[in-house]
Amino acid sequence: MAAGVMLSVRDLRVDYGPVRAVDGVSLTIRHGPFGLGLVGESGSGKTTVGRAILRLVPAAGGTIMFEGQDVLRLRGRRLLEYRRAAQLVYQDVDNSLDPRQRVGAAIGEVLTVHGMARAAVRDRVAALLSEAALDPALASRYPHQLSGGQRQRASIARALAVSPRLLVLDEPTSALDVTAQERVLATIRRLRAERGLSCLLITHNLAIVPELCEQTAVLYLGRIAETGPTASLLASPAHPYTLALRSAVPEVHPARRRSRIILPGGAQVAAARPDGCAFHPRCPLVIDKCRVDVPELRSVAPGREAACHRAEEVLAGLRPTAATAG
Amino acid sequence: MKLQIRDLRVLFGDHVAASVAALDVGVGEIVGLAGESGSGKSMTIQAVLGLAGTAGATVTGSIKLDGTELTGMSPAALRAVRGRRIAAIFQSPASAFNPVFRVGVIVTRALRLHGLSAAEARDRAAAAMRSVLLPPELLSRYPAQLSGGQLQRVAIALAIALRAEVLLADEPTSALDVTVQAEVLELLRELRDTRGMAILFVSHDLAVIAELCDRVAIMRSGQVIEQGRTQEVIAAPQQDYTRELLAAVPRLDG
Repeated sequence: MAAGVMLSVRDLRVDYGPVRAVDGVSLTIRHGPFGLGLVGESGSGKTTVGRAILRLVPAAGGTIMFEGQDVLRLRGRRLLEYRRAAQLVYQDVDNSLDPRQRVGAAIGEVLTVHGMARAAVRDRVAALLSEAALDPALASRYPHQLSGGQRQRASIARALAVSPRLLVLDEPTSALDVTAQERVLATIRRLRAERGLSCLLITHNLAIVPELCEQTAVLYLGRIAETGPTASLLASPAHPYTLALRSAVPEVHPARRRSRIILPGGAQVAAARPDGCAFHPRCPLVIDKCRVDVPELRSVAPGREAACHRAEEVLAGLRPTAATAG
Repeated sequence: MKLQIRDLRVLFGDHVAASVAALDVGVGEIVGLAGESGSGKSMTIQAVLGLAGTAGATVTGSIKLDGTELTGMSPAALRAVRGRRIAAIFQSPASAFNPVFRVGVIVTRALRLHGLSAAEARDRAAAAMRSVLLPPELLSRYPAQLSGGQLQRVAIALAIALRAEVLLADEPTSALDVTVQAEVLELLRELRDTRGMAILFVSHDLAVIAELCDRVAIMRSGQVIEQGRTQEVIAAPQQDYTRELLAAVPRLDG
């Protein structure tokens, strides 16, 4: 295993009945502080990848190695240890905390399950809440008495209770307004540095990725469309799908606004994967080859991989004719 | 002015949930109402729809549609306006559609309530679906069989089919993917430009407002604190809070 690698996913496949939701995904997460953004639309399989990594859905194939251990074969005590090391933070802040349980009890429960003496729990809960930028007095509140942003930070405090080394953040801010989102992202960014955490950030919104992630992987219908260092991938995408995702991010200042690439037809479903490149029915740069040949994920520039027949042209500045800016 | 709001106050007891001194939406114009959760944006929309009262609030002030006062109108008269002349779309399209009925049944029922015959309702629903770029066949599906973006377009199609003059849009893209959001925003621009619809668009995201809205009002703690042409407000915000909202918008260059 390469030095610095915490989690290595190779050729991961996940099936839901006859549908292959994740089809040959490989990802590398380094030891923290580090962030990998996994970006795609609804139905791209990004949440399924996160859940498979945490052993919450079974993998149909491939390998997942975490600090030298084969995650897919872990059982018993070792699986429990892995689940402490790798924690999930959910999108749905309204339902990820029990409405009948005070916030402090929700966090304290995790501590006692993992063996902490009851006398020490209260202080530890207060410390965890402070770490997540919450007033420790909120421990006595019920979830509905907190704002959405506070609830999400309480969920993060709960995830931190078992001292994880990897946080899987599944759309952690998409239920929040932009001001609450900014505060939650700032909290995660600080925790990442203070605790040396690795983060897998799952999102449909490319704009929140640079705040947390050095590396980005773009997922389309269960396969990686493009991957590379976040800054270079955003500055010059190699895949037309990344171009479209980038152009969809709303921009405050007109001067920085890019020509919008509207993808026709809406997101596709893995159950009806088109022939050739899965993206070709929506791709503004489609050529004949794309309808027939499946593009392999290949190196297209130092540190950059893309699964597109025209990746070099896109990297060199090829844009859809209706959208030349950007 | 198509929609004219003056000295509007929405009160829960002594608590002022929304206070709008003056807000106008003209024909072929999109006006944004921006602010955080709890700032009073949605209560303003509810008041225009005449629904704030049913939530237990007291509404004072004036809301006029083409010069006709809506506050204090009888429930029957208001029903003829609401839905027909003033349509609304919401954040969660899934909860705007009754899950046990086919989408087409919901749409044609709304059209028939506003006086269309069954045949007219069917034709108009199909035409409206085409104008939001959806195949009319989707009308035979159940809401759970459509994606969030498709359902939001159906909600917009209903407004089109009703020939609504005013569209109230309460965070209509906040639950959608950014790519789908871009499509819905494009559709709203088209409603403004080709149908002259007057749109009041509520959002917490100033970037979305900046892309879409001709004018914007910023709300905080129930009050409109700043208002003007969108580009001017963004280029030179007068209030610290507006600057905070602008700073919170995530940017691709980090």
